[in-house]
Amino acid sequence: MGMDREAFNENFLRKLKLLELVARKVLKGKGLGKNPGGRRGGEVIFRDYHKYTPGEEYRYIDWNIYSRLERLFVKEFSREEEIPVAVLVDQSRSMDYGFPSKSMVALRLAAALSYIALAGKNRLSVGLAGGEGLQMKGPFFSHRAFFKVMEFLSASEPRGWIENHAVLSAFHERTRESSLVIFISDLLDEGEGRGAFGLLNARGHDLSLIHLLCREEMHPPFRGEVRLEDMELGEKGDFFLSEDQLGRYAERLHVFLKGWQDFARRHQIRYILCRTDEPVEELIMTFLRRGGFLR
Amino acid sequence: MSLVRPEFLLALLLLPIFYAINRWRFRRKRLPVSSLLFWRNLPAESPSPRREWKRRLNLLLLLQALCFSAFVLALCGPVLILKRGGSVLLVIDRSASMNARAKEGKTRLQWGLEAASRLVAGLPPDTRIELTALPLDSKSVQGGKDQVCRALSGLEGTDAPLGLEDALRSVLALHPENRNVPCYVVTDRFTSLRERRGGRIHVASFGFPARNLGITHAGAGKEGMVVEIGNFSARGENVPLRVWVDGEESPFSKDPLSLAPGEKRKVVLPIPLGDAEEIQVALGIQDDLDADNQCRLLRIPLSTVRVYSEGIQNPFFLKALEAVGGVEVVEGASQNHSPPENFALYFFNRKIPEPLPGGEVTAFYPVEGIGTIRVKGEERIDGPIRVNSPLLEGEGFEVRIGSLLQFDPVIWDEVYLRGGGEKERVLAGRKGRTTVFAFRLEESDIHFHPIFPILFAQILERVRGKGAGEFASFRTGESVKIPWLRGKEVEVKDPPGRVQVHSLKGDPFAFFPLHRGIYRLRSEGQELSVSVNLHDEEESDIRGERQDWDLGEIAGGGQREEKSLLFLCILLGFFLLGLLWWFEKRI
Repeated sequence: MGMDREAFNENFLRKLKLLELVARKVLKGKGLGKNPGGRRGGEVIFRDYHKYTPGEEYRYIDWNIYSRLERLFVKEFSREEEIPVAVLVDQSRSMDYGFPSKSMVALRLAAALSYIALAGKNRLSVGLAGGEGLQMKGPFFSHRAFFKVMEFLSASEPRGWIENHAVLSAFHERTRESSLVIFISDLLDEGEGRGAFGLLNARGHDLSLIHLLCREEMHPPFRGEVRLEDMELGEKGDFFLSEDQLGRYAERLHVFLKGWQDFARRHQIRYILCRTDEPVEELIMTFLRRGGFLR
Repeated sequence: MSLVRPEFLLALLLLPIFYAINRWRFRRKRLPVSSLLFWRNLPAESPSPRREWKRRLNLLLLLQALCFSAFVLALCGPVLILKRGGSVLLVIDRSASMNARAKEGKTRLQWGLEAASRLVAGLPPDTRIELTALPLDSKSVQGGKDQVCRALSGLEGTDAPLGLEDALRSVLALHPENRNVPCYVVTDRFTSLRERRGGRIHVASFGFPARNLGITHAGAGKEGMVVEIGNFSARGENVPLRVWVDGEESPFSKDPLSLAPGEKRKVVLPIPLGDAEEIQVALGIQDDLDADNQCRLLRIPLSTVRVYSEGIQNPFFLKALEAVGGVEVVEGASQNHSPPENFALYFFNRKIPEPLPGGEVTAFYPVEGIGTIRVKGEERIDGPIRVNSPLLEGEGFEVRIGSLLQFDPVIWDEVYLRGGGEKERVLAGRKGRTTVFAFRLEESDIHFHPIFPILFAQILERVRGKGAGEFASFRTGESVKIPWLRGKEVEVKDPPGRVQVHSLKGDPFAFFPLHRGIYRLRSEGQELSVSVNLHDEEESDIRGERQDWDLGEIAGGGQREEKSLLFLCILLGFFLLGLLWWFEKRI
């Protein structure tokens, strides 16, 4: 399978470098980075005000405000520090569908997000979830490690089947600290996947979902007598696809997508639906920025 | 509707390809999908969409077939035949020759009547048909299809000859108002009367070719009777040569001969001719020369030859006479000489001499219809008289006494010949043992009937060799030749019912007919009929070319108008193509 490295040319990388990952939760990093860290103090960034409580350092009281309002407010500062970022890509067999395939687009997105993360001096881990379970690589700290990330991603091929539940559980077990987790998948898992997403979010991870579907899934191009074969499970079924049946299919798909949107909203998970026929650059620059993934 | 190029209909054999292509296009396809999550347990539709789908596929196939057929039809050149009622002339030849067998054991007349019945059946219902059955007691019926069909079924053959073209002219002359009426003629002969003003005559006809075969000369020689054979176009084995002297067959007839095609042979028979009045020689199957209507030999005594001339200017004749030698040319014969005693050649130039040699003929009558013979101012014979000329038997040459040039005060015993063209260039007659030929020259040119130059040359040849015999003999009969019976044994049954078997190897079968009537031939199970009438060439199969029944010419019938449907077919094809395109999008 592999990935088209030429798409990541200098121009595109320059654009990516201008972007930053947005974490909705405050995540604690270990080193300096561009993101406001979870630890207070530091020299870098003014973060907020809060009312003075007795016992606090006088030196952080903003006397200018006091002169205007005659009330004591204390300045809060954050250190700019790295945050742990994990980009997880679903590489099950079902991702090898569509033109371009979901797998291809997912890997490109993952590579782009990885570059953005590394350029922001964050700690990056990359994971591929396929037939052999979750394979993690990292952490990577510098954008110089981007090529290693590319190598790792390029070497992958969609195979086997996965359960989101198992993938996310495995990730949580391996990663003790809270991370900005970006999971790219078609979410066509029929197991207990959604529960695991909620659980991961509840454990302090900042979870983002990029839901990838191809055009063939949104609008199936077949009519008449067909024998459909599930690429992931190998299951077969004979169908006669009329316009009415395709309408029912679209209805079910809509319910499925709506379910994920509602679920994400309920659990404060960032969720965005992407179609693979959109160019990756468009997805990055427009969709992910609009969805609050990037800024 | 009919098609100009029906062979293109074979393209319709490609129609199953459309079925095969559709089967392939709309077969059940195996398609991988990322998941069956949303496909499973889709509720069944009612009514079944599968049935509706198949119905659409069938409709698609039908549209494709129709579209293809429309273009194929356009290639075939469709023509719409608009039949109209009106009048039709139907002429049936039921002369003697139509009694010959045509096909499948039916006579030509039966075959022709069937063809005519089909023609009548195919005419529009309101067509007025005039049926005329020839010859002689011509039967005419006017009416609708049913009436004419009944009349057709009641028609029977006759034994009479028929001058078809004259008869046709008469029939058409009776209907001058029907200038544009199609005329259909069922006959077994070829007629040149095919076009007429305002319409075409459709003829269904057939016949057999004939070639001359036989004896070119028979006469007295030093050793006896000399018979010369020439123009024998077939290879013959065991061909009998028989001789009759004054009506009695000579016991010295020659043993059967073997002849090669084109072989010329001189046969000498030890038969003293003496004062015999008439010799008859038969080569082949002829065996009864006494009967009427048979081919005969003309015998011309050659003891004295004089040519009476009124001024020969034609160099051809002068040269010919010079070459012949021994011919006495008498200038101014009409004025100075008595009638010839034995043999004379008369050359008249520019004007008709009067009085003719003999001086007793008081008038010379130009040919205008039926004439009259006048001798010494008295009418001796008046009215139409038909004389069968032995000289030209088989040529159907008709001699009218009334228009014959009389140049002898004595009524001729037998008039052989008068004719040769529009102005009777050749005259021949006989009185006792004297035969007279008269050739009239027109200016400086000679216009003879095709047979007469040969005849003349033969006369001159005899004249030159007059020392060899007393008579010049000529035979003009025709033989029947059937090219497609080559090298086969043929059983021939003549009109009297006698059967002979011929076996001519390598060459087309030929025989010499002697009797008027229908000859029936059988060879290897194949049966043929040949109509023979040596007096009426049109009534006989021995002249003209074979023409099988061409029923195509009389098929259809009625006045018809054709309208090409090509544009309509192309338009229909493109309309169906558009409909197909629209339907394909929605299937």
